[in-house]
Amino acid sequence: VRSASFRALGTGAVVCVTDGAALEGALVEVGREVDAIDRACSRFRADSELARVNGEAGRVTPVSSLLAEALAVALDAAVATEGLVDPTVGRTLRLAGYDRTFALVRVRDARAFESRFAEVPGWSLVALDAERGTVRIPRGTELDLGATAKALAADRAADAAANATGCGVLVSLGGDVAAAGAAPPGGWPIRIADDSGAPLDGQGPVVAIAGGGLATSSTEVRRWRAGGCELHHLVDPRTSRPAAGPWRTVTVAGASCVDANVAATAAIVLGEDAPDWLAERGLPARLVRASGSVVGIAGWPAERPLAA
Amino acid sequence: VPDGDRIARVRARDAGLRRLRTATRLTALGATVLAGAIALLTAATAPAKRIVRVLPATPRTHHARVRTARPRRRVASVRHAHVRRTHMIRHAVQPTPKPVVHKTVTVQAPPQPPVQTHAQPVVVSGGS
Repeated sequence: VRSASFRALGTGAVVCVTDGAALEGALVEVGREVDAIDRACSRFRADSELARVNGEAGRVTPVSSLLAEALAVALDAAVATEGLVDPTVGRTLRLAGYDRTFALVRVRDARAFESRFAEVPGWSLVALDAERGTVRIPRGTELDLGATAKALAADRAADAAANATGCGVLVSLGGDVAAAGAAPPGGWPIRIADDSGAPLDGQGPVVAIAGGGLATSSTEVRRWRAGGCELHHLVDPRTSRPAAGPWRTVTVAGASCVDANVAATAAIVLGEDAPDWLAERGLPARLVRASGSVVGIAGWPAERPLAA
Repeated sequence: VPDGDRIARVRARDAGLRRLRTATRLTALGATVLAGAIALLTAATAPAKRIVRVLPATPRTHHARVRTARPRRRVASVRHAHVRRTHMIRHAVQPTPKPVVHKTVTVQAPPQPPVQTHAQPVVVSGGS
């Protein structure tokens, strides 16, 4: 297995291939997909399609097939989670302080910014016509595709790279992991941590997947202070505020990276009911409480020392 | 006929004629005012005659409809009428997106759950 890493979508990206000679070709494919998603779905690029849709709220706006796909995925995620993962959280996120790339949010003077919150309008008000390539959101609504777009990019990039190179490919975008093609013997080994920026030889269990996706959502990263309170980026649409459940980090394995990331985010938002929700859907998951205690669900491997 | 009765009848007739004349004048005045109002309204709404009403899309039509108040022109065919109407609609309003019918969507589990391994990890999955 050979790999290469770079920065993309405001986070770390890693591409691994089973055939070392295919790495360069895989990087080209991954770079193309990631760049396309960034231009379509970024909330922080003034020239992105999503910024245009948000700016034209209340009007019918034409969108590219890629943004239409990303919006359809986000709406499907909302349906599948009964609104726990909702793309219309953009306005409350912005008012809460996540109004620029996180690198800039992190360095902002917390005393100079006061957070506010706005009611989440609800995903069902988004009128997407995928056939005609148009969308209309209600006036005052802002979309944020943070819960699905990065995972969608990982899925698309892994598929594109595997198809182009003919070998097994693993793509990680900020810890949202997608595998395509034939996995190496024993699967793709992945360390689980609170922060995707943790070192490969750091703390946390290592699991292997043969395909599909694996994603982790955590309230431990993308945190900021505003006024007197500390906030994070995972919004509970029911309260329009950052989720306040018992789980600090949730990792889920899914048929795709989108499936895994949607479930992980929904679990953080859902709170105490998350283990049952995940078990009902047969989603292998690892949930970490704020105290550090771990719960494994639906076939997630027990964490015990392995024989050498 | 006694003179007193004749005088009373003449007075009654004259009073009736006066009332009739007053009613006729009032009716004429009302009709004139109404005609003036109609003329004023017609003049004021002349620019809006081209398109007087835009009906929103319905689940059946999927597009907005425009009603015109202009006298109908003869059209060569049904297709001609359709093209003309479509042309007017396209210039009048943007199409409304069709309501998205959300099929039942579920979050899918992987074919196999992850397994514990002692291999050297290639990536870290965590929050970002």
